[in-house]
Amino acid sequence: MASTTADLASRLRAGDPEAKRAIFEAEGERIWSLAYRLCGDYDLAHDVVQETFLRAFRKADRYDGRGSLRGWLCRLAVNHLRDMQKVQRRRAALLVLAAAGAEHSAPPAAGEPFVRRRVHDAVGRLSEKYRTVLLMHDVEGYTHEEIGEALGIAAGSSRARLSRARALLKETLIDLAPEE
Amino acid sequence: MDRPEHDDEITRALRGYNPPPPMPRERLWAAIEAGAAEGPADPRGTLPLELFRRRIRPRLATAAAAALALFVGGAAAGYGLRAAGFAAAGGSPPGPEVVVQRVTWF
Repeated sequence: MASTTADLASRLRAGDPEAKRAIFEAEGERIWSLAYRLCGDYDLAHDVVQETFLRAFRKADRYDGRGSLRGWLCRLAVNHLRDMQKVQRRRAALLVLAAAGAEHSAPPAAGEPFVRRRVHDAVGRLSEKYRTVLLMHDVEGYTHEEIGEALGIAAGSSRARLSRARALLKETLIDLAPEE
Repeated sequence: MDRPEHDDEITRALRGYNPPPPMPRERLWAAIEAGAAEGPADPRGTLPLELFRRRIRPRLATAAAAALALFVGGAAAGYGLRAAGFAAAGGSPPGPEVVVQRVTWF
């Protein structure tokens, strides 16, 4: 699998047009899933995936092949998402529509189970750096090394953030634990 | 070690945080191809996000232009007033070559 990805990356750098489609087929679904999980907005996730692959294809020569291709793509996606969310926040501030947590996701419907709603709210209340690591690791299944590459941090920092995120989540959801 | 039941429930709930809908594969690929055919966006059409380029640099440029305009206007007004003073005294102001000679006498 790793050699296939490395091969695709070298074909992309060589300007092979078929490599572009192959990379999109191989990694598109994961980038889409990550983008949607982090923002909860269909149009924004669409924009992030589109821009991620466009940038990757344009800047293929900047990928040195040292890290994983997936990690590099995730980094492009997360950076673009942050830029877009900054713009959205500014617009929301201008329109005085900034509702807390509104940019992260739509709340679950009223009929959703109680625990799910509580967890949704608790995750939405985490700061961006903790939420991103929690969702990438515990939900999307990325390794700490991949998260480190994607966020430009050390794998150890990713572990520390995950631990802190879980602790904060636990603190918020303590009342859901059954009585001893 | 078995996880307590409530932990499993929380894990399931966590998986339900923003569950992604199916990816619009063909629509996305068409958009990527269209974007690639267009080439990179014109950076002049993009609002810069950094504070220096967006807020500080334009103000510095405006302040520099205003200072230059004030200096030129003030010099012209001063020269005019001085010329008027000489005219009232019945003389004429020294020409530019005399002024240059005076200020570069050293």
